[in-house]
Amino acid sequence: MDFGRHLPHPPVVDAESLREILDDVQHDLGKHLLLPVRLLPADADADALRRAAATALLRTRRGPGGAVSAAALWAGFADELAGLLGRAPADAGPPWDGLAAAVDRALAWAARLDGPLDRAALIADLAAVGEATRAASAALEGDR
Amino acid sequence: MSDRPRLLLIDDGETYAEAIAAHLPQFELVDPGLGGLPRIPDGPAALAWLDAHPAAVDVVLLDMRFELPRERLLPLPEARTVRRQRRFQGVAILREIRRRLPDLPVVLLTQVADLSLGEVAGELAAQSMTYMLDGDGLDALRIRIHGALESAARTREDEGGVLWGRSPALRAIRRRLAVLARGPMPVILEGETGTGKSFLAERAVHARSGRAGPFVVCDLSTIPTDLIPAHLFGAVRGAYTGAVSDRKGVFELAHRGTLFIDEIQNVPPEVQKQLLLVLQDRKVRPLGGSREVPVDVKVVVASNRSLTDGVRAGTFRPDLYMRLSPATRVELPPLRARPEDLPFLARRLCARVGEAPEIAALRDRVGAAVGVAPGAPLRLGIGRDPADDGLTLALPEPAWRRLSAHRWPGNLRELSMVLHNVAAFTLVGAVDALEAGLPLESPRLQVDPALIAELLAGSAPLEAEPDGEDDRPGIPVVVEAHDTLNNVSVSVERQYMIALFEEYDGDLARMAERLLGDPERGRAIRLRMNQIGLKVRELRDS
Repeated sequence: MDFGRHLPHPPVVDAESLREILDDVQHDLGKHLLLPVRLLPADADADALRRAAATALLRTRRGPGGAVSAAALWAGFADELAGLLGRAPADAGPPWDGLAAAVDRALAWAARLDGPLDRAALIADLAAVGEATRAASAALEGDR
Repeated sequence: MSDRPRLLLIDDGETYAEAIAAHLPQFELVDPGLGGLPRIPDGPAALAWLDAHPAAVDVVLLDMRFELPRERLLPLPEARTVRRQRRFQGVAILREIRRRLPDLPVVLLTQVADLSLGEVAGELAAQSMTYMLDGDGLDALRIRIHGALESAARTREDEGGVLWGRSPALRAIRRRLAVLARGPMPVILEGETGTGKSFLAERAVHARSGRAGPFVVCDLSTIPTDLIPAHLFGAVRGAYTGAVSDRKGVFELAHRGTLFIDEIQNVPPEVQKQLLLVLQDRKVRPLGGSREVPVDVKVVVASNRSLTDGVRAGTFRPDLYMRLSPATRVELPPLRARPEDLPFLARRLCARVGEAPEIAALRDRVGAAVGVAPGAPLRLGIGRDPADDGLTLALPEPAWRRLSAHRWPGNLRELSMVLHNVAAFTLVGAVDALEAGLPLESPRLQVDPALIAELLAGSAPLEAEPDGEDDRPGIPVVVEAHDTLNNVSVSVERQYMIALFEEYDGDLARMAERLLGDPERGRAIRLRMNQIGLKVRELRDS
């Protein structure tokens, strides 16, 4: 008797869909969270830095229909990822929890826009989203 | 007109447009007039704009991913889904830009992850392109743009200093000559005087031919008709009166190199057959000689008139024309046909003029008074160009409009001469001011618009009216009925030369300036007059 046939199947990971979502995360968050701040001159003053950070975090994707914040974008991606992973990215283990943590650190800056901003720390946290996304993509490729 | 490099941003996002507009004022972000920040948000609109303004951009900044509805995307056959079509839309746009404007530099705004773009990675790797990655900052963007500009400038000028310019016509000629240079066939260059035929023959054909022999020039307009055979094919001692020793012809002199025959239409009919045989057999028999000399020569011929007209008129042998390989005919456009190149050419020629010894001495003397390092290039400022670092000849807008409206009958040669004179007069004026104890306040030397008008007036009589309504006085000529076209042509030319000779009191330099755009070519005028049976001495005596 083949008991194996009656064991529950491991969850089927739709790697292609995950890859596509990661592409979008890379574009919308990995790129557009960082770009406004990276494209500031080295001697930009505090107001310019604050405006760029606000653009990056609060008006991350801009189109004819208006602007969407990074938090809203991530909420959408997190839902999509959860649907495919069977649980929230933060609870899905590596590399997804690393990505979720990096996004959380970046989004936390939105609450600090009224205070003094440490440019280097801000850039490091915003850049970490792209790095975590690339790491997740690489892990996914490794699983193929 | 701005002197800043012009960037066209093709991007569905606004971040780059905001950053460049705010922080990189050294570049001009081209405004396509779509409202909002200066950018074009999709491929179809960008291509339509570039088709309408092919010379209005120095560098394209191209996004890779376009989050747009399907109807605003260019097709990308490799993309299996609309999602991938969006992700690699920059590749589809790039292909179309390369097809239309192959030399236009492109900076691709992309992500690290996109450097291995799956199905299009090989294609991108083969492109000459600059990448701006999403982690790069403002300095990197500035450096990437400058790098793309410099690379494009090298492409434009890396062939022996030929100023190709930006017009699609000249770019097409450059590509065509690059191919023809390496082949065995003769090359025909047709174009008005001063369009750079001899320069291109040497720099764009001979220099790229891979031939080790010399580049030899034979200007048939400067050789008396009866000496043309000896000049072309050589002569042995005693072959004609005055042939006191054996003499090699230009075919032999150009062995294993390139022979440039200028004004080929001047080859007399009786010599055309000999020339045909040399081209066919690759051997020359010097005048009066009995042995044939093998020659391996790349032949480039030039004419300032259409050779097909000569064939139709019966003055140029059709078999010789066919032997010259009309398929390789390259027609150089006059300067007035490529106005988009004028600012570029004027600036580059101004820098070259500044290197002429007599101008360089003045330049450095004036430059020293305003803190410009010796040897720094002489610049041309047009209109309200931003202040430059170097010594600048500042052309007010009206003066530039006057230059732009000029029809340049002498083409590049005339432009170069005008700039030479502009530089000389303006610098001498500055030196005079310094010697009079008047300080120069700025390295920008204002050019007097009246000087431009005066310099251009010299060639005004040669300018054809575009609408045909020419009310300038004509020259009455007499043409004999039932004569051959060749005789009519020579007769009219002779009468025109006599009229000009009288108008300029026999001053051949002024005639040369008017007819050829170069006062240094008075000798060519004298020889041409000689060819058509006019003796300068007799005209002066009469």
